[in-house]
Amino acid sequence: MTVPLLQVAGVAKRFGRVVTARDVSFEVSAGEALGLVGPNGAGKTTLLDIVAGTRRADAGSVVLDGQDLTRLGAAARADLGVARSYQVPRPFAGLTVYENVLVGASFAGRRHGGDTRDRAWHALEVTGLAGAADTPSGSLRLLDRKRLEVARALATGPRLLLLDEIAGGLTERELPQVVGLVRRLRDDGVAVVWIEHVLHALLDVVDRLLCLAAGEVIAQGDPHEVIRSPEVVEVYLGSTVDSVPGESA
Amino acid sequence: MSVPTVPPTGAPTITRGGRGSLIGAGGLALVVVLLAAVVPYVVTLGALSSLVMLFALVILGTTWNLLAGYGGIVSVGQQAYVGVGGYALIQLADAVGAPPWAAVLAAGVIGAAVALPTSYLVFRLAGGYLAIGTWVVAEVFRLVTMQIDGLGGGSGLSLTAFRGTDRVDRVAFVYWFALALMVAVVLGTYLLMRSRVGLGLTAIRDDRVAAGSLGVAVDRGRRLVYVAGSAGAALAGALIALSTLGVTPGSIYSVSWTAAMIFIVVVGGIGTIEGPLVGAVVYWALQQALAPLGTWYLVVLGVVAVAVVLLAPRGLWGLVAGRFQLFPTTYRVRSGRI
Ligand SMILES: Nc1ncnc2c1ncn2[C@@H]1O[C@H](COP(=O)(O)OP(=O)(O)OP(=O)(O)O)[C@@H](O)[C@H]1O
Ligand SMILES: [Mg+2]
Repeated sequence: MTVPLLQVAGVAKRFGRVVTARDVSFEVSAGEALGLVGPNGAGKTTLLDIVAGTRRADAGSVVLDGQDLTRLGAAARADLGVARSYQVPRPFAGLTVYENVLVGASFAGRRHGGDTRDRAWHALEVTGLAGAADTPSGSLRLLDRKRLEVARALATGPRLLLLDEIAGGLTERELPQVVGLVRRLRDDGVAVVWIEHVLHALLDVVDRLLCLAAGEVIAQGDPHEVIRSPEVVEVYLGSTVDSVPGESA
Repeated sequence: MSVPTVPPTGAPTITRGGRGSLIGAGGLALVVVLLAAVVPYVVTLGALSSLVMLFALVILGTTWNLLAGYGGIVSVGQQAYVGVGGYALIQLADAVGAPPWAAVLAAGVIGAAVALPTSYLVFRLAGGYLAIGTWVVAEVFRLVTMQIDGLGGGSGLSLTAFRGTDRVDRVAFVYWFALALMVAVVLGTYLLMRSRVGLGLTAIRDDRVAAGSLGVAVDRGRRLVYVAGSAGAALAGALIALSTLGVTPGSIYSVSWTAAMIFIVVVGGIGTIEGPLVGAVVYWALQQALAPLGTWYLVVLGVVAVAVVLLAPRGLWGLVAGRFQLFPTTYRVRSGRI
């Protein structure tokens, strides 16, 4: 067995009295996709923030390819191949779509060498944004802003890609494109962590599933086993996800 | 045409500025040549001195725009560096005996050297607190300057380095030097903003968190902007002292310098290279035209600022910026397929 690309161990985080992570540990290998589910407020986004370096954990460690990232900031992690999308998009509103993506390609993406503009353009093409390249990103509609989040992350040429709810609101015709994109990245050897409430899209592609509730890992492993486990079913009953586990299979 | 040479990915052509920009830049170059080669021989010495003030205002506006428009750092304390530059010039030229041109450049370096440690203090503050904090820093600079022996206390210093120099020679030298410095500052700012670093700075301005996630070194970028912008303010302060032959703590450390910078940038158009040029000309022209009105001129400035903010929120240059850029920093994509 090769060493997993990402190793998260014993992560803890609280905001005042709200515990958003309690002894969370998981691993993701290169070429593997991990799905991250859990009810609203479970701590999924916070966990992603901790892995990406935008937030510091109270305890625990984040290791990428044997290198301890725990003390590194977001930019340093990005330079080592960690990329993420934001659940609430954060476009550079004063820049065009192309320029937004160029930021990713020419900063974290620079370590790959080669032509920055080509990498930026490629990221626009695979996310379906090429036609909007010259549009000011501040005037994009929400779905395109989410696409832009993914495009910017891809332009950095990541080894580890962290996706936070990119499928919500997509039509049944658009969903397979997103699933296909994630599958292609994974097959190219990228490690993917994907937070998603649209379960059937997630289950189409992830190799493993991790369910978080109130900051704790309540199940982790084979996606279909996790989704049927009694703990997960209980947490999900009465929650706001689009499909109740079991129906989606 | 049926030749299938279009690459399958539709590789785009990326352009930065078109023929309009080239023509505009040619026009601007012509203006600079006129200012350098014709104007000094047809206007009075007094007019030349007043043009030096215009050049200093362009530098002030350009560097404040670098801070606020590109770095997202809204400082109301840049007079701190105008003052440091003014005092540094006189000390270097008179006490050290440096040639005036070298003293101005060194004053800029000193401004940067002072700004670097100050940035660690200022960057602990955010938003409105940062604005107030920078003002406090400027007041502290002024008070400390007045306490230092040899800096003339409350009455300031006069520049003696030009004693014995013919007045015409002096004014002509200061004029040409100020013109060259202004061109260098504007061009330098343009090249910076057009570079990869400039793209990163713009990203920082729009969303610091997202910029960090894409590998932009946010703290370093903001520090660079603050130090460079402050060095520019010090250069302008040195020019002003060189032109007016002296400094007083009340005038060279006056918050009205920063007020002028804000007027110039907001009226001209924030976040563009061209905006501060337009704004500086407007400010300077109003100052010239309204000088006889005394303090009423401040009222007129205020009215102009409010009117522009209401009618053209992105400044005067903002009215044309969408169609035309003299200093193109943006990218335009033309897909190879269509
Ligand atoms: N900066 C903060 N300060 C205080 N509490 C916070 C902060 N950020 C998140 N929280 C709280 O932490 C908990 C977990 O938030 P988080 O955004 O990680 O949940 P999530 O699983 O991503 O939820 P969702 O599915 O709604 O996106 C929530 O209760 C939230 O209110
Ligand atoms: Mg979330």
